[in-house]
Amino acid sequence: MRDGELEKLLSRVSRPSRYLGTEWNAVHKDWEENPARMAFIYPDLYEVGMSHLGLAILYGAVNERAGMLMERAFAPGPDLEALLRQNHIPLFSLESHRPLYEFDVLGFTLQYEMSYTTILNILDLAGIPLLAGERTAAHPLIIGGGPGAANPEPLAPFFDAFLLGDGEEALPELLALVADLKKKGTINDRRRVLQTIAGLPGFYVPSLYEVKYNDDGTVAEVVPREKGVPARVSKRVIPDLDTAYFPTRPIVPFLEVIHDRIMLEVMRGCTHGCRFCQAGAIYRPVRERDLALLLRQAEELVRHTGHEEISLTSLSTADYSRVEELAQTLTAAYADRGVSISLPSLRVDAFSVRLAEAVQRVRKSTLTFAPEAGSQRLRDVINKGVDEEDILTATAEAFRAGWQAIKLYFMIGLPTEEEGDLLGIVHLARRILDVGRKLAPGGRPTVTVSVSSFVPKPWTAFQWEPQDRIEVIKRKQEMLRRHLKGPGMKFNWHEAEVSFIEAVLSRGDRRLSKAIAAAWRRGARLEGWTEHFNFTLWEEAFRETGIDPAFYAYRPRRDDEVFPWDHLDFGVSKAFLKKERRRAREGRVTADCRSGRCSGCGVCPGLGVDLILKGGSPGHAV
Amino acid sequence: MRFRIKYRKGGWTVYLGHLEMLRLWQRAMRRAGLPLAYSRGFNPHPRLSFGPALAVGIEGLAEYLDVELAHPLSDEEIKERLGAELPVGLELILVLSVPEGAPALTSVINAAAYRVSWDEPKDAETIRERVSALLAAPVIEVVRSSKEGTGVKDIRPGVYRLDVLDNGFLDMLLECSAKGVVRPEEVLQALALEGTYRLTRTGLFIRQNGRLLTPEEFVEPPSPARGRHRSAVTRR
Repeated sequence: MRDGELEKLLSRVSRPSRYLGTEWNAVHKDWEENPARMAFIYPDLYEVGMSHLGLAILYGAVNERAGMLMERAFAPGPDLEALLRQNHIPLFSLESHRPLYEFDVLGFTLQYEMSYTTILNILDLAGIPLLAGERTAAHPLIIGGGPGAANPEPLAPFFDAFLLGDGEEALPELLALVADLKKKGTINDRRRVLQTIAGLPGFYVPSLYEVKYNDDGTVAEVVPREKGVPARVSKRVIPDLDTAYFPTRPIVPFLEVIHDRIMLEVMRGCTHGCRFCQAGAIYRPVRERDLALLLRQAEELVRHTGHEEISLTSLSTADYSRVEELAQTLTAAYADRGVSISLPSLRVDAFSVRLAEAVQRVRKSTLTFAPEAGSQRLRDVINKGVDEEDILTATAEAFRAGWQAIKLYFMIGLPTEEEGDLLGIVHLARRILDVGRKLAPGGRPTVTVSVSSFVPKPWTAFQWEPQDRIEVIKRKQEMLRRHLKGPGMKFNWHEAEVSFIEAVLSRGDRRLSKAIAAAWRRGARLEGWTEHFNFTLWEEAFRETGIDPAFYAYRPRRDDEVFPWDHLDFGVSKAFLKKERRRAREGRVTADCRSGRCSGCGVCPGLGVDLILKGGSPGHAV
Repeated sequence: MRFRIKYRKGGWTVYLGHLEMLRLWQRAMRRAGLPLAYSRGFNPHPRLSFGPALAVGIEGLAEYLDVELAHPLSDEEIKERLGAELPVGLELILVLSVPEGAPALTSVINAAAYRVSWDEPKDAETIRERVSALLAAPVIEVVRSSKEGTGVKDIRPGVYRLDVLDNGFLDMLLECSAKGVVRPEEVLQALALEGTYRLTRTGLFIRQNGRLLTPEEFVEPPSPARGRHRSAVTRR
């Protein structure tokens, strides 16, 4: 697009700084000198996408290499979308303002199910056919990665390939391959290109697989359509994060984004093994970064961004084996430079509170904990690994240290949940508020209970479990709302209909692609934003396509059922998940593998990797 | 130590709002390693203060901000270090130290100059006729909507000068103070000269006793010792 054209658009939209592409540290590489060109697309608004660490990592990992370039694109705001459609302007990348169809590869990150309609909208805005089968050599290769690739089947017809697992090595490999194919001139043979990509470790090309169904609608098998295509695709793992690329010159947005701070990735993976948690399963094994390396990276990040906050990022930062040393060193180093340290995810224990206190010289108003379930029985079922005492001690410690407000995250609709478990949420919240009234300075504490609904996810021990029906979830929310009233008590909940669509898509198969397309055609997009989500569109889409969403969300899976993602391999074995499911039923907890007791999930031996703990590694079962 | 920074806001940075500019400067200053002075209290933040906000989409040729540093640096060193940390489109023009107690930018700046150029050039004579007619009117009423609702406002007292250039550009000097602001768009509306045009804020001034001073000229604090208010002293 010519710049004059863009200027006309920018003066007519809200938050035009979303679309400039000239932020500090943005990389503008020469188009002609870099024959392999990719756009990384976060299918949501700029302020969400720019908060994603994966984007920063991959953007740097590709752009530091010669011969390839990566630019960015996001979903446009509704105002810009309307202008693009009115004026027949194709959606463009930020750095060079070129139409997305000019790139060789468009890579979408699949962060959550509710972005799937936005992906279709972006393809359409870019003038690219939605179905991979309708695209030719003239179109970019459409690839996807991120947690959604744990079960990409509902998106399979729209994508040329999916990347499973870590991308910082795999993506440059793909682009090197693209450059090579372009040089040889074979890039125009789409079929050959896809066959070649299917030969790269970690890349899954869905069109090369056939799905066979049973009479009852379940999957019978997923098999390669031709020879030379692997029967099972394994995820990519960076075995050692210390040697992996990490960006120390990330883009500094103009606009205030959701996580507007330095993200220092202290480790990848989580050892807790909560039975509902997909991230805990698919990012295994835990790989910690070296402390000295982290300190060096922090220094460079501060110098190159000017940010005022460093967030120690991971799925469970308090678990990092040298977290105290790291937090204290950073706090001391940056205290007089106006840079504060934050910990986004905390365990529910007194250690975490002391840690939060140590780094937060300035008292933040709210401290968040996630007990997830209201009773000890249910916390054991989900393997949360904390008891009531832990929670009460931690919250008391927090009030004593000066926090005024505590936020508690719970999940409802968990397997085996009964009324007593829900009342447990109420009792726990009330007890914490009472503790606060005694201990909080000023004596006006608040407790916020935030309740999401359980969504059964692939690669978890609960992947066989049904989701509660929408009306049941609503009844439970209503019951909690009635009980969690009064001074100092707040209650938030997630829309049951959104969780239902998430459940349908997360364990869906290829047939669902028709419903996603139908929902998009009816106007669904940006569905992560409450003001844009419209359940009626989905109801109509399911009716139109003859798809029964209850089949996916409410049906308990047979123990021996073949899942749509069984031909993919994220390392965690199905036998382990079955065992975990049994133990959940028995209310038996499974130890964290940090303790040295290997739970036998299969990741380390299966993927030829190892748990990396900087405070010393425990051994493994054979 | 307080420093006054004069800069040009052009290129793509015209699309940055006031809050975005605040964050951008803070971060550029941190990258430059300037020894920023922080406010006390629960949430310390660097002591920066800006001149009047510039509407999104408008280029500013002479914008200002003041920053306090914990210990002194030379004007040249600040200019060099900070200049290297600014995104394309932002340009440092001048850095100069300001005495302790000098009045804040927003409390003294009271006039803004704008230049208007139309995409379809207009005839200078036509504009001159409309301008003379407008300036002859005792009252210029425009419709202004605010949070409280829509009202009619007389902007005549805040229209200080309107000059038509031979090439058909229009220069305006309008009130821009803590007490009131006349927007250039309002004047164009009153002149019935809207069309598609480009607006540039060419300067910010302290208008006093018929004189126009720039914020780099107006840096000395009031000096009660002299017995009378010494409002402005040229620094160099």
